[in-house]
Amino acid sequence: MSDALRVLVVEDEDAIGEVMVDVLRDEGYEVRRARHGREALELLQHWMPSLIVLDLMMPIMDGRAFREEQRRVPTIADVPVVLISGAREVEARCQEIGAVAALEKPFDIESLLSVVSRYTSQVA
Amino acid sequence: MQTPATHTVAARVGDPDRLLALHQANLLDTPPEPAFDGFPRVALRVLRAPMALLTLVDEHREYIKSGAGLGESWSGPREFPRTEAPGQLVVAGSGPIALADLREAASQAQWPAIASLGAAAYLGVPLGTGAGHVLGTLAVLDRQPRDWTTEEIETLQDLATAAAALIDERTRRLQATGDSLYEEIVANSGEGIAIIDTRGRYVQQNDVHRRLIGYSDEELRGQTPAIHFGEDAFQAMVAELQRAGRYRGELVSRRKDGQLIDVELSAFAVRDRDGTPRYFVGIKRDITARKRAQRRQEELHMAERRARQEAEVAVRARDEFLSIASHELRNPVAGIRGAVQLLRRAHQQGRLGDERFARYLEMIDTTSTRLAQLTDDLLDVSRLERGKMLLRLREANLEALIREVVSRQRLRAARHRIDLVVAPGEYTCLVDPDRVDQVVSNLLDNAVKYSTNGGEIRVTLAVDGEGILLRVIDNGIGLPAGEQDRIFQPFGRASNATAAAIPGLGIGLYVCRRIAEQHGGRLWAESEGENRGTTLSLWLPRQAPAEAEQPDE
Repeated sequence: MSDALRVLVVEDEDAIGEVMVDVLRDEGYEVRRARHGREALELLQHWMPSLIVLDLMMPIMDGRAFREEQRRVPTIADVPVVLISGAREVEARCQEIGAVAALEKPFDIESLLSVVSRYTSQVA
Repeated sequence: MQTPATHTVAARVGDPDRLLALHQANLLDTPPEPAFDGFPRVALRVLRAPMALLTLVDEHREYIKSGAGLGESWSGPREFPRTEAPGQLVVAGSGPIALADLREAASQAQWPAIASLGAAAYLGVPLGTGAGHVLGTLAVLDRQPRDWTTEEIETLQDLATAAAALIDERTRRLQATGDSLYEEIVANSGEGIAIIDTRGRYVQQNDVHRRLIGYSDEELRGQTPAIHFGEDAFQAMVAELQRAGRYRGELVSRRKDGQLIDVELSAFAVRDRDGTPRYFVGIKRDITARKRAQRRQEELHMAERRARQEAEVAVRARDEFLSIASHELRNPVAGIRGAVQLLRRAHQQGRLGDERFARYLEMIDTTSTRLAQLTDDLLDVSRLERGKMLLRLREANLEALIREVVSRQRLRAARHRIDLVVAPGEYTCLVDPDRVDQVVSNLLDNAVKYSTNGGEIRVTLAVDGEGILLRVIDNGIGLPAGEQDRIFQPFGRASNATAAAIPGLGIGLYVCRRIAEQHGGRLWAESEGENRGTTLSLWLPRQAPAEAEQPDE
């Protein structure tokens, strides 16, 4: 599965992060996980995904700061981002940071899969 | 004809006592008075001269109070410049001045004022008051040169004496009744009026002024307004009056009885004709009530603004709490739900091996424990807000309790090293062991959470006076200066923790401190600054006070 679609999960909460990684792997995606924005940026230097699933509130570098950094780097600026957050008014946050879609925590595995499949297929 | 030197004339005419008498007579710049018109008329007839004048001389001018023979519709000048008419010589010399022939060019040039009336001869005699001041002249003028006889001079003097008697009488009446415009205004003004001399000493005050500042006329004699305004305010006021001729200000005045009142002062200089200030007049108004109302209004505004600010802060804190609480509660719920859904899905798809099964169960267990802890904390806060948190006191060994907490924490913090150092001693205490466990766990949780890069955490336990001291020392993000207490406020978090988006509700330490206090102990934080670690210290007495105990139900 060397040409599998790649998804980067950026999530500090272990339970949620692990669940997402497992679900997406079961569906055949190649998945990596970062615990915060800084870790994600490091990973992105040598690993290019089709989609980023991004949490908003994280230590060290939160989702908002990550987006600002991401947009500054031309090679990764166009990778679509799906926001996943427990914050209130997720839709508004989604607009603010320019994410393609938002999932509100707690979320269904089915909705996660359908959102991920929609935006990875567009890229592919 | 011998005349006094010019400067002697000026000095005599300008004698302050004479001028004061002149002003008190209230004859200058006043409407014509029939009582005085008679004198020049009689003088004119008796001396068979065509013109006669009754004049008053002040330092600048010779003022014509009444005249005869000047023509029916005489509307010429009511006054001459002092130096252009010979009345000043009469005043300065206190005796008659007889000028027989004014036709010479030199005489015309010396007395242009009477020359302009067409006079060729002049005879003036003094109007002397009973007090000995010469206020002016009674004078007759002829169009022809004329040698004035002694008899004529004496006749005119007799007439002048009668006129002066009338002036004296009038002055006495004025002083007795205070019947002058000025006196009326000062006496009846609703405002406090006082006059001070150019050095600031009180000269006069009216009734309102007397009541306002609380000093009698005798007490004010030789005093300046410094007596009630204070030296600094007085000096500033006099300086301004000397400089600008006016002063306006709101001052605090101390009454004789010590009471402080707010006074609005408006003062101005009364000047000579040559512009030199002679007196300062001050008008004072009591504005104590107005100022008090103003201050009360300001206080009200302040209180209102403060209340509004507090409300805004409260709203912001609540918003922040809601957004953090939303995140903090939804995360574990999302984790648990995700794990359960994944469990079911993997099972249905036949992918659920033993490893995954065990891992998901563990995930659900840990996360739900955390959720339960969070729920407990929130309930504790809610309980504390209503003032209820009572202890179940039991004898417990704190050393054992803390060893247990530390080993539990070691399992959960793989990236940190936790060292425990216990000084030898007796650690049996009467405490609520569950609550102490809660506090110590929370302190260790924080030490782990706020040292994001891992590292060493040191826990020390020692006997300290009548109690026991526990310290939890980390090498984490530390506390910004001045925030050592903020982290113990409900929902209060260190700014660097918020900035780094380290999750937390800001309630753990608040609850912990309350538990410590309920035990009669203390909980405090120390840090040398950001990124220089934090030390949290818990001191508990050996025996918690009995009133903290929850009664058995």
